[in-house]
Amino acid sequence: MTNNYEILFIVPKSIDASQYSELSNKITTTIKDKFNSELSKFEKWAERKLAYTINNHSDGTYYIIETKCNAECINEIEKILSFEKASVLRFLIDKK
Amino acid sequence: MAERKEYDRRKQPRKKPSKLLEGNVDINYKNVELLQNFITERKKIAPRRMTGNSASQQRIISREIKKARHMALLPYTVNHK
Repeated sequence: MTNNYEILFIVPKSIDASQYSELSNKITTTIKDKFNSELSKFEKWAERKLAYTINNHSDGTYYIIETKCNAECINEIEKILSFEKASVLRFLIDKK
Repeated sequence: MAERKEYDRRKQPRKKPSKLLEGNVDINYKNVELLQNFITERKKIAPRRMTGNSASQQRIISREIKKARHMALLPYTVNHK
């Protein structure tokens, strides 16, 4: 069974471009190739000051993903995001 | 005197209209400007008696404020450190 999900995550401003592209590649390949699911949106949402500091970071870049996939796929993405402690400050998976 | 006062109070309209417009306003954790209307000076979630929300609106708003707080879009308190 597939559902529509929205994923928002915060990347620190100081992150390397290569480190970020590695992360985004990992997510896109997981959704598109591994689970053959639909990735309708993957873009930068905003660049803003955080309301409170997270791991001594006060600024962050927000990225948004919209996808239609099953629960297994979401579990895998949750794992990826939570293991990347250095490049992902916070994330939120929202079922639509 | 006391009786008169109570009578007057009962006659006063108690209900304030919600700050939400009627119809389908998109209440969403990403809509920070909207949610900011529903928190107090001390960054607490404002009670219904202050905002005039209906019960169902209040449930949605408090849930979305909590999501926004997790994502550092809104503060939990005024003295974060």
